[in-house]
Amino acid sequence: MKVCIIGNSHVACINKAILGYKNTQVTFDFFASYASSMVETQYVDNRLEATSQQVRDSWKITSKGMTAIDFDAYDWIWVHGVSRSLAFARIILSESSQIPISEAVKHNALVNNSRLSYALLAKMPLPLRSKCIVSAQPNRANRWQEAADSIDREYPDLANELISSHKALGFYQHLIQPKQSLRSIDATATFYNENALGLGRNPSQSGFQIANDKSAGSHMNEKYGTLMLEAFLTQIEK
Amino acid sequence: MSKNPYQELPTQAFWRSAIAERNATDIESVWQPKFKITADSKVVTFGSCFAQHISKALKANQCHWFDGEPIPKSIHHEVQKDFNYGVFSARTGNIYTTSLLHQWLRWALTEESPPNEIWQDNEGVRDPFRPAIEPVAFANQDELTQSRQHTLKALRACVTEADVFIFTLGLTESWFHRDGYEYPLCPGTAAGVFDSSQHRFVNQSYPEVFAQLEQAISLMRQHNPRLQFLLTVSPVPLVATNSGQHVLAATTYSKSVLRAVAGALAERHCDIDYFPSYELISTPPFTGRFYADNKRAVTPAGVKFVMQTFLQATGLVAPGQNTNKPNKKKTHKSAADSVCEEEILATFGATK
Repeated sequence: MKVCIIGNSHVACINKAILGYKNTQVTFDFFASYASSMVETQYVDNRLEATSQQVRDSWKITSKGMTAIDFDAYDWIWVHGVSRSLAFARIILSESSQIPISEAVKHNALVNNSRLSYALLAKMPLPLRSKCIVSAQPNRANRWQEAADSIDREYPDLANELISSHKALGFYQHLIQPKQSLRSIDATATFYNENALGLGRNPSQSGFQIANDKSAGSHMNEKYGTLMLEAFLTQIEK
Repeated sequence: MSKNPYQELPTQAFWRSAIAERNATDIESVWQPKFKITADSKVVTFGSCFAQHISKALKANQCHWFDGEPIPKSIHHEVQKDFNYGVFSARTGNIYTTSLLHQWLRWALTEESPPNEIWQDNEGVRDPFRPAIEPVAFANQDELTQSRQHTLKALRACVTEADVFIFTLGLTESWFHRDGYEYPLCPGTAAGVFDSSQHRFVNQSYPEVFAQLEQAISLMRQHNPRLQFLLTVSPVPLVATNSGQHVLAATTYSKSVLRAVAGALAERHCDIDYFPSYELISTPPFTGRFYADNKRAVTPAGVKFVMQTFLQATGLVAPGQNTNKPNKKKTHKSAADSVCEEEILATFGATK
């Protein structure tokens, strides 16, 4: 099975985790570029091509030599990190519950949370041969306003809302941040932020490097990458 | 020999000096506001699609446009736009006729309730009184009712809390149920099913339009005696007419009646003013320059001209100061930026 992982600096931890992944039945290619630069792309002749030199160079490094994405070559497309976090989805749901808005507004608001991922996927002609999964960037590790029990209290409903919203309106599946990675419903456990990995504007040849964002707490480490990888593999097996 | 009255009149009273000897965009003093609208004035806007340009200009120039039905800030503006939040001061959708305005106000301010009619289709239920308020159907009648009640509450707040109520008159042609209530659009167009035994067409006359607007204003005054009114007439011609007339003649009839009603009410009441957006776009000095290629949609340059005139006359921007710039990429697509439910009618003439 061939998997194409597309994203920004948040894929770095997954890239590192995959180095330790021994299953030869599943192979991965990475196409990553910093922040939201991945939208600097266009679909030409059945392939997604970079429209900026920066993205082209970054892809070449992260994919070990490729400069365009042939979607037909993959069984799964996994877009990671260019959607807003679970914490932000929670804010939407929380604010939405205070005024009577329709389910459609709520669904659209939650799906729009993934709009950069969607913008990337929407460049491709549908239906795709490959299946798509979108996962958001993690909650920040340096913020926790909610008590730890907010996870048990809110995670199931939040996950259900997100999954059903994307199912109703999207053509892709949604992979939720794993419950065990959370410190509270709006924060990732700091354990996963230690030695966090990022990409940088000019990625190193390995496709990951130590992220200099201890204060921001937005990037995660190899252990988080492993969790996401396991969650992804579990989901595609369903 | 005493002077005749014309000898005392100012420059703007004479066509030659006010119009013929000037560039069209240099025409001055077209509107002198009756009452002050300041940056602190709480302004609400309703009406036809052209009314949206006023709200956009007010927002863009840091004026106090009152949003009675805001959506949570966390929801992205694209979703807000798709679901018609922030378009008018409450999510009534387009209110093209004075009778529809009066109907909305009776539902919001009196004991009168909306009829129970809903339009069911394969996707869910639609609101006959806001058929295009959301791009998809409501999940069920409860959701629809709750949403509309929220809008009525917002409309009530708009009337009771605002300082200025701006209403843009759009159409005289209207559709009613035989039980007497009005639809914003002909059933069977945006949604619903047309039934000639239930639905009737009314091309409203001057007395009808006048009476409905006067009653609407009177009702609002009961709830907010200090509320001031600014009436405008949409310069956008009809998309289609069911009157039996040519659409050009039907447009002239409709705009003439609306303009006359707005002028008459402004003449009678010191707290009702008329802003000539219609004249600034559609009259001879402007030679149609502000209409897009379809000779109907108003270009962003036209909208900018109208809104600059409005904002400068009120003192909300200084003379010569630029208001928000039109987007050059959208020079001939002004309608794409505004919500005009009436546009749906054009699709029925596509093959003609």
